Amino acid sequence: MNLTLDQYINGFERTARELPELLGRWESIDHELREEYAEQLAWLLESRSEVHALAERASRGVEIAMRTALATAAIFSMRAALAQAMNLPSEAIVDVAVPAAPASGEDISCASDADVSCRAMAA
Amino acid sequence: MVKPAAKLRALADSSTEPLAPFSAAELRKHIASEQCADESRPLAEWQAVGPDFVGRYHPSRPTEALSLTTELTSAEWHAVKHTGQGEWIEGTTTEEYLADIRASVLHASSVLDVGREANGRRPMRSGVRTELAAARTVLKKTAVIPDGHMFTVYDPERRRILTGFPLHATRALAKVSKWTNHRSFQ
Repeated sequence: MNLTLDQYINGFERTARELPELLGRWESIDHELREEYAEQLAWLLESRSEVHALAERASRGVEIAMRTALATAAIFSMRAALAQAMNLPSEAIVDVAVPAAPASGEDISCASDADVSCRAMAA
Repeated sequence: MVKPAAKLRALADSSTEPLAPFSAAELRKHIASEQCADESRPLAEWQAVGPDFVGRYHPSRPTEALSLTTELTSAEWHAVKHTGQGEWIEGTTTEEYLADIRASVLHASSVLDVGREANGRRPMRSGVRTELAAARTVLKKTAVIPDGHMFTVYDPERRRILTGFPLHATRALAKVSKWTNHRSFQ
């Protein structure tokens, strides 16, 4: 990735903020742009693990993990609309590997997909 | 005499349409010779979903930094996006991005895919999958990923190259396998 952590996380947060409005007028958006948006969202989600690793090395692990968790939770709340508009499965939103917790870290268990915010926050 | 773009449209529309009188290589050569989509949009519209590209270099005017109001053609946008994502090396220009796509489409190892996308409007598509490892000697700026393919997408109705980017071979195959009337030709 040739982007900075800030370019990634600011874009991820902006995406979470703007998606409700975009989904509200999805059918009126040009086909090429809709494909772009679907691909870009998939890329943001797929890149979380790489970004978390980069953030750890930049001593910003906790901050970036918290911010991606909040944005992920917001996006997860739109999962039904995203599945319909972009064919995006819920698994693509919640499936994120995170760095191992420190030995002294608190064990946070999540029971189901509905606990996505909890699971992501555990990062 | 049928023309290459008309043949690609016919192939997208029918799973029984013969490739003849063309070879797959001839149709790939036609795709490589076509222009990219030239619609221009401000960066703010292109990146409404996705990371923030503000402040990165303009791929056609590298001394200029991008702002939300910078107008980018489709080719410029894809150069910005794929370079930012690390699929092309930092500093790649629009011309270099397109040159790598055209070179991969022409490479002898490439596979031509035809069909219609499996979504509501089902636009016609031609795709070209090229093994990055096989084509690495002709690719100047593309980041070669293990088991990667360059996947180039062409719209035979508009006669425009839409995009090209590297991705894992299985994912490239998964994309085209979803197309209606999908067939592959080598």
